[in-house]
Amino acid sequence: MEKEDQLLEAIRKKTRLRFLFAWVTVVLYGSFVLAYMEAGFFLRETIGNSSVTGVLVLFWGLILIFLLMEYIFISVNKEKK
Amino acid sequence: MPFLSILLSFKVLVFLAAPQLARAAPATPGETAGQALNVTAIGLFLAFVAATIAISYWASKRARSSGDFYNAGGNITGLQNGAAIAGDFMSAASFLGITGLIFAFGFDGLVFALGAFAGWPMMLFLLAKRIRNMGSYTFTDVVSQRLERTKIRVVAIIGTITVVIMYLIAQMVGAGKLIELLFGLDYEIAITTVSLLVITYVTFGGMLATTWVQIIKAILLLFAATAIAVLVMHRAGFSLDALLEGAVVAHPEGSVILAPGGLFKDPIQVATIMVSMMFGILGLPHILMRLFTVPSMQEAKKSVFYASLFIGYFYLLIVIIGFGTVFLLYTAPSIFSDGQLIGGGNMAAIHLSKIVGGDFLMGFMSAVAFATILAVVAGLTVSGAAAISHDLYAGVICKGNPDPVKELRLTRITSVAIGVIAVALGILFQNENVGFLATMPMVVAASVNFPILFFALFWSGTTTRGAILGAAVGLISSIVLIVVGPQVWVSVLGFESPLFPYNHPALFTMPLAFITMWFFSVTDKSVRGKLDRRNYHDLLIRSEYGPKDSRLEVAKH
Repeated sequence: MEKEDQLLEAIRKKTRLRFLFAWVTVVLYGSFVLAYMEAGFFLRETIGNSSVTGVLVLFWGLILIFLLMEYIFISVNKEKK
Repeated sequence: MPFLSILLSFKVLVFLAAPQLARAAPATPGETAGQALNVTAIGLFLAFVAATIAISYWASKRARSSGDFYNAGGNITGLQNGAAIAGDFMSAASFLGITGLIFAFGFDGLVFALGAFAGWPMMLFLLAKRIRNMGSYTFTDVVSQRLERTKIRVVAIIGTITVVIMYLIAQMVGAGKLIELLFGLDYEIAITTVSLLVITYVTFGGMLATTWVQIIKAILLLFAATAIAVLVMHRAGFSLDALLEGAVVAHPEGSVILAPGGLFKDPIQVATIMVSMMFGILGLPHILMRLFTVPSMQEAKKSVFYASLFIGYFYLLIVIIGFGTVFLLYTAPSIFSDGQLIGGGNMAAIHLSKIVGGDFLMGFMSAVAFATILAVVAGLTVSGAAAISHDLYAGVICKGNPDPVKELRLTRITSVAIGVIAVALGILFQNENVGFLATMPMVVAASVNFPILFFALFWSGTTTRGAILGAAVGLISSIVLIVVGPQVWVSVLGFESPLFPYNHPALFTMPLAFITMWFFSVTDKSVRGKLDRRNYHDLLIRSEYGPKDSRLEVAKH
């Protein structure tokens, strides 16, 4: 019974971690919509003297951040195991 | 030519934007008449077919049981499965469609690309491990571990079949038209060819053959996309800034194409697409099924990560290829007829491949596009066959104790039947708006399959009654809102204005399904409801630690 309680506590921790990663993903993903709102005007501007706009950087950045998050998630779970 | 063929396997992407692309690139004589026969394309395609049929023959020697058929015996490695998932998901439509959108409207085409990618981290964080530990062949297995087996299986089967059929129609119609364009084949011959090849792969080789077809296709597509991107960058002096500057100079809209607003003005419209894409991926049965082809939960997680790497890399390349079409095509008068791109906007990537790589690269891209269609339809066929033979016959009719020989025979018969039905539906719907056809599976997957799965795995209060009513509300509301939305109400039915302003209603229907599930679960005082809640405890431990503890093997039904 005690062992099972420990298992459940470990699962609760893992579940909190899952939701943390998922929420961060959803929030970052949702930030893309900002580019279509008044508040996201800065994302529509080009960066410095280049032709690269903020929203293009956001697109690349989100893909790379999501990949990094996946890597971290797998690594963290590996360590705990 | 409509445009997003469910990306989902992101093929949906292309078809989602069909009306917009149609406005930008109306049909041309070249589109309706098809292209001249491309000998390189046909040669490469025949080589692909020969290789995949050889694989099917090899796989047929190994597919002796239903398990072999449904999940390749669970012996696929994480890397192989990741490549197969990417092959299943990255469609010709997503490649050609997103590129076409960027060619016509600039940056806004990337909304679909981000949507198609963002579901994968969510798959890893929320579902991959738990689904792999809970099921055996299909996502229906997962939810029926905890809820009342027969009823929830029937609901999950309806969700699966709805998504598979809708996805299949969109794929077949898109395939017929695409092949008509690329190879100059008649529409009927094109879809019959696709169907015959897929029946061969699936019936003889099952999931093992399907997996290898998808792996080969993924490698070919990534290789072709890389080659085009490198050649485009070569034209731009390997300067991203020069590429974008050149695109701005070439496009009639100028610098507007580098920022949002060319295609979408309303942030809610963008949010509806993004929600449909992200959560739709989490409910696609043929994608979820791939999680069972690996031997362990660790390999399942790895396979999602590898799939993300391949898909992410693909969409990073799409930026270069998309703006490459703008940079190089608008200044090439030979590929325009009456001011329109020959073949329509979806041909932008194909024209680009010819400009940067000549006839060989164009032929290669055309063959890859065909291979892509075969890989996606094969995955759908396996999923549909599993829903009928495993979920319905074995799980519901035989109450989990089927005759293995009969089940395998039924699986093969179902595969052939799905192939025949796909051709019939492809012909029946050939004049329909593919955008509409491709919208439905993503929205339905997000509004029906995903809520059932999520609540079954993460909320102890879920009951069979709540899950069934929530799924029903999700299904009905998504279909109704799609029908009264712009694509169907205006474009198909011809009304002046839509009753609902958005084409992808998952932003509204998915929460509705969740709320309904919650309400009818918390108000469920039945004996079955109490048992459903008690089952969660066993499910929870098994979902995290696997089924090794036999005490937890089967929930209390």
